[in-house]
Amino acid sequence: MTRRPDPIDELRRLDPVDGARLAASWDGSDAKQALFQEIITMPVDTDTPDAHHAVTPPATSMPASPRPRRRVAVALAGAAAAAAALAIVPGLLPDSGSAAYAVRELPDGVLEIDTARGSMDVGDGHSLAAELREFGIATVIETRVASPSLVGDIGVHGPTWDDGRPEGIWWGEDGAADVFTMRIDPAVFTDEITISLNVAAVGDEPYELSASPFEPGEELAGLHCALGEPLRASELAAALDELGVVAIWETVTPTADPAVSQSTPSAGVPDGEVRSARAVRAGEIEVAVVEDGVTVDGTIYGHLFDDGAPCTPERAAAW
Amino acid sequence: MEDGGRHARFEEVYLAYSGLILAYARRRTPDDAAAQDVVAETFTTAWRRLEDLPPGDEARPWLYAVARRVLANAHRSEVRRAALERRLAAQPPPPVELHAPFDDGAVARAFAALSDGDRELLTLVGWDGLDRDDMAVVLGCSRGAVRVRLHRARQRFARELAAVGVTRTSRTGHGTTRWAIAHPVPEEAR
Repeated sequence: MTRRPDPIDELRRLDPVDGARLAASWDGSDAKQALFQEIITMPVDTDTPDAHHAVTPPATSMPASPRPRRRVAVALAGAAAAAAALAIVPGLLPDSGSAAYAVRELPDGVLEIDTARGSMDVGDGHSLAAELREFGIATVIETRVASPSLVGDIGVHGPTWDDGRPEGIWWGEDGAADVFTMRIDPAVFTDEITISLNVAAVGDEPYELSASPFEPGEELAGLHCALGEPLRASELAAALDELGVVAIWETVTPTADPAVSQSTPSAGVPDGEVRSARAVRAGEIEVAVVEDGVTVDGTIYGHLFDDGAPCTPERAAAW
Repeated sequence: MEDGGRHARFEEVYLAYSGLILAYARRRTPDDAAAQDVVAETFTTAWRRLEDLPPGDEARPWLYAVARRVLANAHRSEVRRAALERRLAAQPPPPVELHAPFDDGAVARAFAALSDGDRELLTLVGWDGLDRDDMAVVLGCSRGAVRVRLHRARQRFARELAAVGVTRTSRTGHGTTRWAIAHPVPEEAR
């Protein structure tokens, strides 16, 4: 049996401290006993400044909300205002190269977070969370496995917020220079913030969030441009076969409500036009096809080329 | 918790984990005195917040998390550090022998090329022996986040190892897949 090599095996031999020997040496020392005696003679006063600033102990550090929570969605940018959480599109943000978000305290005690300074990596989400916790804002992190173009996006929301902005938290209006600047008044805002981090799939993990596989940054970016418009399901199927990409086909049909369409799994490749697609996992996509002679509402199943994946000659040329 | 119970519980935790926390701190501080200061800060917090201390082995990552924060906030404890160092000066700490100089060898160079965050993740596993659940507590994030971050850190470390000439070798049937120095890296190539 072959064990998969782990670079940490190499790292272990670099350990500058022999932990076992050090601990054994510490066990027999006067210093250890002296420290113990000193600590247990200290008064137990959890309201001391030391106790407040020294740590944010795991799991027990989130302050309980002193008032009923409102369900309010927070979005930092207008494009995501209707969503429950904001996805900051990395391409829209300046790349400062900064490893951390900037959380600074204004003279009036309000915290200002310049989210646009952060590069969109998981570590930066944790940095932001750590910085917010430093200022007493209860912050939790959640991760979502996302398709490639969405990896790195960060959403900020409250787990119990419904709509609008919670009291004590605000950000710049759409189009304003400070649209990516969030401000929190800790004296007013006592709720919890959840930072959602879109992370890459490991192996063949399915995506919890996914974009069209034809969008820039995705596995098949621009392929539909090379194949031409309208894109026949059979043409796409042939291309996917060559690429070794698995397709889950479904057909789209109208319902009694003209604004609503329904999709049904298809055993084979439908005879029709590809109207929409979604990345399922690496090497697997879901494709919605409107069969010839069928008319559906164009709002959802409009045209593939309008489905977040507009074509340019460069994108077509890549294939 | 009554005084007797507090003392007993704290003593239990102190005896079980102060050495581990000392080793953790010593790897991240320039000298023994600074490391012992971290231990003092960490267990002072544990003493004051004993009611928050998780039971059993769950205390371990809790203490690491506290120590991690203490290290980050070292500047805030100047007064206590000075007092502690004066006290410890009268009771010389046990000498610590360091081995495997950090700037020696290709592996060290590869490790040094990683970000602070990656190095922290990898050392929590490799040096401190924490598992993912413990790391999630220490880092204040979900287990899933640890998994993804650790996976990435391992990959980046593997790439850096390869870049300095340490590549994977494997031999089926004997369970001896390992990393090995594949070829020397000329100084000018680094």
